[in-house]
Amino acid sequence: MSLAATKNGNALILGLKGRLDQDNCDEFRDALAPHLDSAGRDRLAIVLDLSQLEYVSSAGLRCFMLAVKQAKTYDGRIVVAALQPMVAEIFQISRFDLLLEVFASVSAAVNAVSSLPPDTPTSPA
Amino acid sequence: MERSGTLNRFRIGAAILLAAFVVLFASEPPVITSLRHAVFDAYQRMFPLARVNEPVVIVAIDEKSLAAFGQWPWPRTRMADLVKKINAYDPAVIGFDIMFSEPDQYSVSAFASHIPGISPELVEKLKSQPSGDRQFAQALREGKAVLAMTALEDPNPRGGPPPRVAPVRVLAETPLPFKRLKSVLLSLPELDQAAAGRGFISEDAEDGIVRRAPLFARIGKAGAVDDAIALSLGMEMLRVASGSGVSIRDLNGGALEVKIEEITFPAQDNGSIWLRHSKHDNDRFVSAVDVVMGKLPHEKLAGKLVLVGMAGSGLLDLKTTALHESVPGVEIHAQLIEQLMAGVHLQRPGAATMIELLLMLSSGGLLIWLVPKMRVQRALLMFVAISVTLVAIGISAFLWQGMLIDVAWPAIGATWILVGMLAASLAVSDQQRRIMSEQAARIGGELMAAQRIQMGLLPNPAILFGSETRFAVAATLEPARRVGGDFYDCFMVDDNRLFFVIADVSGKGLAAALFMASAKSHIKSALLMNAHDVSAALTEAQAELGRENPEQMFVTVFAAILDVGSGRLDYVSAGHDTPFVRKPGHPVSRLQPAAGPPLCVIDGFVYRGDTHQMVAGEWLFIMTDGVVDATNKRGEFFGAKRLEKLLNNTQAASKPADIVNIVKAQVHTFADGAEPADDLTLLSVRWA
Repeated sequence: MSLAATKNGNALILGLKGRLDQDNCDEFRDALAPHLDSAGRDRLAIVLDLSQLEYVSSAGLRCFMLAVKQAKTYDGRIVVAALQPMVAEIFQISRFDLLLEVFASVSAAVNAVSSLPPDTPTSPA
Repeated sequence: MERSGTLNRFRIGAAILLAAFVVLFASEPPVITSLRHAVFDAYQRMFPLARVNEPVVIVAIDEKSLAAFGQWPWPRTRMADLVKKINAYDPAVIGFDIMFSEPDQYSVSAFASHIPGISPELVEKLKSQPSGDRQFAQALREGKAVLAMTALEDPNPRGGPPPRVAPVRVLAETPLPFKRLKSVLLSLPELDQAAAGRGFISEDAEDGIVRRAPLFARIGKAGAVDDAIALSLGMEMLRVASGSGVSIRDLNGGALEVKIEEITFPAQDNGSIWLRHSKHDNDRFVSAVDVVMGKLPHEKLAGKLVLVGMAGSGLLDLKTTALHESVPGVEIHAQLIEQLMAGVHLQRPGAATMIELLLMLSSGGLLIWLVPKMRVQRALLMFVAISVTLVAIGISAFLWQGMLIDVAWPAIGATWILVGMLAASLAVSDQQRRIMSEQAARIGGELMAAQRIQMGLLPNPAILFGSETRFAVAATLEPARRVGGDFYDCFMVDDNRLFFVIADVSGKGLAAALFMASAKSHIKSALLMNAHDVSAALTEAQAELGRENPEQMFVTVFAAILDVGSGRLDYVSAGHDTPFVRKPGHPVSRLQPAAGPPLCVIDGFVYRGDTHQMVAGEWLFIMTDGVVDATNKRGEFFGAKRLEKLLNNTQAASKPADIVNIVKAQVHTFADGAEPADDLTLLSVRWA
């Protein structure tokens, strides 16, 4: 899984595509690792753009959880944006929206993370 | 690693095979030589030399000449006439591929005394006539003639003085390994003295095929005064034509550099040269009768090296060349001279065997190194590439370097190695397959045991609550694999309160199964310690689970306590879908969605529950992802809507066991044999 990365102010926007499940979880984590490093170094918040993500399984949710736990080690912040209906439902039912802040659009997410001073520690709801 | 260890053993075996092959090759048994010659012949046949010059003309004693002048041998007077006629064309030299060792039988003086009734005066008169041999010698003396001397395998029975030889300058630190001729048969002394030179003719064919031509040989006794170097007929003709001497320089490593005036060429140090054959060409030949009759234009023979030889079919001495053509022997001499004068060289350098050994070692070594790492198809492809490269090397060396390199044996060596390595790889994969199937069987057996244990952890509500009238419970669990991460549980907390739970661990298989067992027991013990508060029990269970969760797994849970007296349902959902409920006479609806994330997602999360008041006859149905995520072979999901519709249609069958069975059967029918996406767990509870 390749992550399309763009930088916008305090936000590092990473686009996910297709499915996230047991089969490509490790791949996703490998692709994410360098971005977590650079986000930690430059004090950026990571915005995961899920507009192209069609499905996420429970193994996929675990991937998100691991990423959040890793980001927390340096007080980093990960949010998700532009969820497709099915993925949004999965986040809602599993209450992963309590773990990762969910934004309707990437721009909303970028605005939200940019309005905070970069070194403000964040915690989920 | 088992595989690489075994393969390395095979690699060592193949390396030993290769080494043995190299030793065999280096010792050059006859089988090596014959195949090598076949390869060299193949080069020649693929690229026969095109004639670019015509320095030689063969005056052939052919059928036409025999018809005109009668049987062979001709009287020497006829030969004298032929030589005179040739000399009239001003050739550079005339060489004879014919022996004149005996006196002329047809000389008038020779047979005069045999004529019956002839007068003694006449005999004397005839005998005083110059003999045919003398006339022939005279003719030879008028031009530059080179006579043949035949190399003999035995001492010359006729004796005679050693031949006169041309001066040959040799620059060599050690004696050159030239062939020593036991003896040579010369022409009549009278003719020999008239000749400008004499060159030996000898058979130099292997397996009946002429591939090399002799240039030099030693004659006389080794170390004696008559020990000398003789030139072959073609060489001697070149020397006489050039009017200079011959020098030989030892280049060491098996090669010589030979120089006759401005012609320089390489030769083998045994005094021979590899022939680069051109095809038989009738244009090389003219008929002796046409020469005698003066029918040829002057320039046909002017300045040429003229070879006189036999071509009449009854007299023919035929030789087979590397082109597998039979040609008159005299044409071989012509081909040699043409090759030397055209500057076309062919040699087998002393380093050739070394080069071939290197080719064999490198191609064999490459295969030994790479074949074990490759799929069979790739290995074969690489072998083909190596073979093509070898052939290309052989042909390029032949065409552009004039070098004879035998690529057949390196290719055969590589073939042996390939076959050996492939056989080894096959043996290894066969062994691995066996080991893997044994492992699979063992793991399968262990998984079966794990499955039995996991299933044993799950209560059977039909037995537990078989006699219960206040409520009914039914549940089922089907792991997607042998073992899974789903579980359910149900037990009476006290006389009036039924606890039930359904849960889904992230992931599948053994890891999920182990986490499931741990989660189930933590939830149960937390519940028993917080008997009145199912939410507090989950908060507590999460804290316990989080302490021993190295794989960072999580589990979605729906847990509830039903007061079987009042119908009050206290429930909490940790990231799990909430149940469908159905009151009698109503369509299904769903309970409030989950309050918190799955256990072990957010450390320290405090779960809060909700309450639902059940009515008599109301039932509840809860499941794991295995239902809505079930897919058929077209990739469609079973989905929540299909489930809701199904539950709405089960009005009559309101017993939990029926609901569970119907949903399970419908999911199976839908999936129609497609591999289950996830563990499938169903639980249904009815109050009163």
